[in-house]
Amino acid sequence: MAKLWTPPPTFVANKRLRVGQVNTYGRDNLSVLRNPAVCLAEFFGAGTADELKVPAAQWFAIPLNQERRDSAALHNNESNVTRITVPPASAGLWFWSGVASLTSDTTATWPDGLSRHLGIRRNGRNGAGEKAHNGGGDLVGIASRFPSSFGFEGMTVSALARMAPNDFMELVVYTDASVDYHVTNFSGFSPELRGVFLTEFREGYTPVWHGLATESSGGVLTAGYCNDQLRDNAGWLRYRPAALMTHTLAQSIPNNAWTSLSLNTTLGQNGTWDGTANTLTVPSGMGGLYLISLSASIDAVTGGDDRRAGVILNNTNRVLVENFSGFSSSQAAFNCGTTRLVRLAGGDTLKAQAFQNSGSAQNTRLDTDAPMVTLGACWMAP
Amino acid sequence: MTAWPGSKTSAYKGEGRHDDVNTYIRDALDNLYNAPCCVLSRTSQQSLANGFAINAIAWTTEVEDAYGFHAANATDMIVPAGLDGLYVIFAICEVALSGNGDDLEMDIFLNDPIEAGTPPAYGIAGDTGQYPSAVAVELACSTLWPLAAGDRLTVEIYHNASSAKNLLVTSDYSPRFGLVRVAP
Repeated sequence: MAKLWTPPPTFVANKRLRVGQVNTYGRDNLSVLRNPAVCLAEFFGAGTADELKVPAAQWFAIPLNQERRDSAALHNNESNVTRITVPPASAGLWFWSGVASLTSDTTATWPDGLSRHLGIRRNGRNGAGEKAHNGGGDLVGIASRFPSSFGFEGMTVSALARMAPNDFMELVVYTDASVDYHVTNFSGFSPELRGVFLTEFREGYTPVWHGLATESSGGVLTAGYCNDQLRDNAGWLRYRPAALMTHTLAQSIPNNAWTSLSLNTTLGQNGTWDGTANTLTVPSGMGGLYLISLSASIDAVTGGDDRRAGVILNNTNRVLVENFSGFSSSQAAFNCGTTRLVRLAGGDTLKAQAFQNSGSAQNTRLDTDAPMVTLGACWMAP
Repeated sequence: MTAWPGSKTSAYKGEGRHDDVNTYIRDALDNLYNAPCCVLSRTSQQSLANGFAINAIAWTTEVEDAYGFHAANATDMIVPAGLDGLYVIFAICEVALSGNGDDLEMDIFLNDPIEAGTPPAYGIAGDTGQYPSAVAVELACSTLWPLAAGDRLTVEIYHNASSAKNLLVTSDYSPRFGLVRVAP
């Protein structure tokens, strides 16, 4: 069994550090940090028609039958289970990505319907063919393809998501066409769900990185050294600067104008992130290379040809944009679920935004088949 | 970044303690804190041929590359020796499209022998769009993938708009291609 993280104490001056403590807070904790919980599980092979058949107008959870990597039996491949389950010791912020290809069995004419979606679903009910609201789970990210198309090839969805002990994630697809669709293996894109633990949330804890200290020859380990290196520096890596904010009320997006979204709930944070004014503000001293994520959705409406969601840095630079463009007479809901790396300094601000040009104001979409609008950030490197 | 020193059990009344502490605490923290990373961009538009041409983006600017993943103006990142591991990888681009055609795709490929003009070897992430109207289309994708030293990553774009189109350049998001290691 893998070692578990042991929260280091505050070391007391003039009290000798025991060998057992060096082993626990040095050897074992650093080993835990170096080997986070991770699972990459795919559906390998062609499969049977029934195994990968996507019923119309239902969310279909893709079976996964092979583990490319699995740190601690997060997935059981013996029964094609759809789930990757988070071990209790690795609850916290995870990065998830899913990739799949979807195709219809009908090639003579374009299938009907408006929606072709790929999603990451947390805690859906067991089994395939259940819509998210039936399953009691939530979609933490969705990527969408233009309506009335055959399907999609190698499409990817990704998100930062907070996972509680034993929460599980699935890779799901959806089409509202009336003909059969199948998940396929196209150009090497085996359907695959990938997740890795990034950080634990510890409310009220402010990570501090002290820099690296060298122990002098013949010296005795001081309480200051132990507190800086074993407690705080290791603590920074266990509880990285990170924050998630969500938007839980439908919001009107005016026509033809980028609009900042109301982020009204903070899911978790390390450090003193200022979550007011719909903004994530990077705390002082916590700059670095960040992984940021955005999940968002806009109602299905007619008119216009452009739906976009993005993240704006310091109210001036849009650093992440995904769109869903080019339709005219009939529209599916727009969904965005993506991430990127960006360098942030202390005091930098992030806001989630949306854009649409339907000709009139439209709402962000918050029904049970849409991802909750979520803006996330996690420190990855100095 | 210091190489991972391995783990060691400190023996009761063992000798050479300060060296052990420097190696197994200081250097290990250094290794974990300074995760290898790379972010690339372009400074000018790039023409994207129509159809099944291989449009690998040529990266002109190293926004982040302290570890030597990228050579000047190359289309790829190559994992340096000693930096094997599990990486988060992303790509974003914006393409100006209009008129005919119905398909736009951006994919991240692993070890694609593009010089030989052969089909891509292994797609690990992608995004697709569609564009009957005259719009700029943004594509974005991210994934998690195990990479070994020498592995080669490229970002390639396909479209069928019937004539060459441009990859657009913005100061903030197009195009970008990056990675960071999250585990060995």
